[in-house]
Amino acid sequence: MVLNDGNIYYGQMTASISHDINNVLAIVNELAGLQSDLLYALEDGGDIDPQRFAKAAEDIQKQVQRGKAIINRLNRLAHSVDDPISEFDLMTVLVDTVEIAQRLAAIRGVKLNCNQDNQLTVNSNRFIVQQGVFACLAIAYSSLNAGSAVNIDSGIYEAVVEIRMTSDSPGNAENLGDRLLVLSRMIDIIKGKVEQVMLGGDQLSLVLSFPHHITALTG
Amino acid sequence: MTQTKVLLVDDEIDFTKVLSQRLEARGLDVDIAENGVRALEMVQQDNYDIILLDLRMPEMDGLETLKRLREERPDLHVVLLTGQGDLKSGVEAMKLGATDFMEKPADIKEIMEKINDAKTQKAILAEKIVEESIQQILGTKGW
Repeated sequence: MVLNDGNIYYGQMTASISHDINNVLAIVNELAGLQSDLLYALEDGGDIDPQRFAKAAEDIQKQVQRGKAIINRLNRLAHSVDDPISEFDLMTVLVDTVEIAQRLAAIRGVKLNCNQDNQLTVNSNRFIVQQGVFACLAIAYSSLNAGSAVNIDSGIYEAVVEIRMTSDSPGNAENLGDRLLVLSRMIDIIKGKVEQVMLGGDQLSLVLSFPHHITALTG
Repeated sequence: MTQTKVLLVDDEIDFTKVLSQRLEARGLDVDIAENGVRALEMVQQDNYDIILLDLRMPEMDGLETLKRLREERPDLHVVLLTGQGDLKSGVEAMKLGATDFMEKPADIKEIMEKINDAKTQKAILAEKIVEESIQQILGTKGW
């Protein structure tokens, strides 16, 4: 069951990444096509603007870098299942997950702001941690109205990692129970838990917490 | 022959910028809308021959945009130009009245063919409407 729950989010994440890669390919396709157009115009006796040609080449290189960053993210996600427990940097996981979820949140008109800027070494199951963060973000952005934002903060408090996802506007907390239950089951394997905290003004806050250092998975 | 007017609706600005340059080099008049809301505003102000529409966009997704566009302007020709992962939605879009479907990255020749097909269909439809009006007038006059 834990694997099935995790796989749902894994599927959503890889679908989002493949969409991003496809967009990069589509842009490179048009830029290469633009260069061909310019060369055909030259063959037909027209002039070629060297700056325009060079700009297209420069833009292709930028898209290749963008594609490389996306593929690195995909690679880290794929390797998150390599070891049951490993030492990893939580900041990298948070930044990657927010980048992956950003497009899906944007479709709903919600912005994700990751405020994590320090390395935070954690010893746990990287796959479950990343799926847990993604699940919380998915629950948060789908409970908010367009124009809202979710702020993501994290820290360690008495050997427990806390990742707090807080909306800047009221959220619809109805029907969250089932989704949080599924998530709780998934993160139980790393002795984690998720709590829904209602703040003043009906702001939605989800707190994902798990031990900073574990030596074995439960179950 | 009047210049074909195209509206590109996609939130990937880098994509629409280059594609619009390539279409303009082929004699088309191209406008860009970065989301569905903007597209709906723009079709109120201009008479586009064809809309090239992405499915996954912020604010209003492509399917909702298509539905609203068809409600506003049932005569509009909308061709989907979207990512591979959206095939299921593509089928849904065809049911909602999209004229055709293309996967990104698409060949410029294929895009031009779809645009020309849409323009031809629009001309045939316009001709049919004129013909029907003439028949109606002739009928009322008893000729």
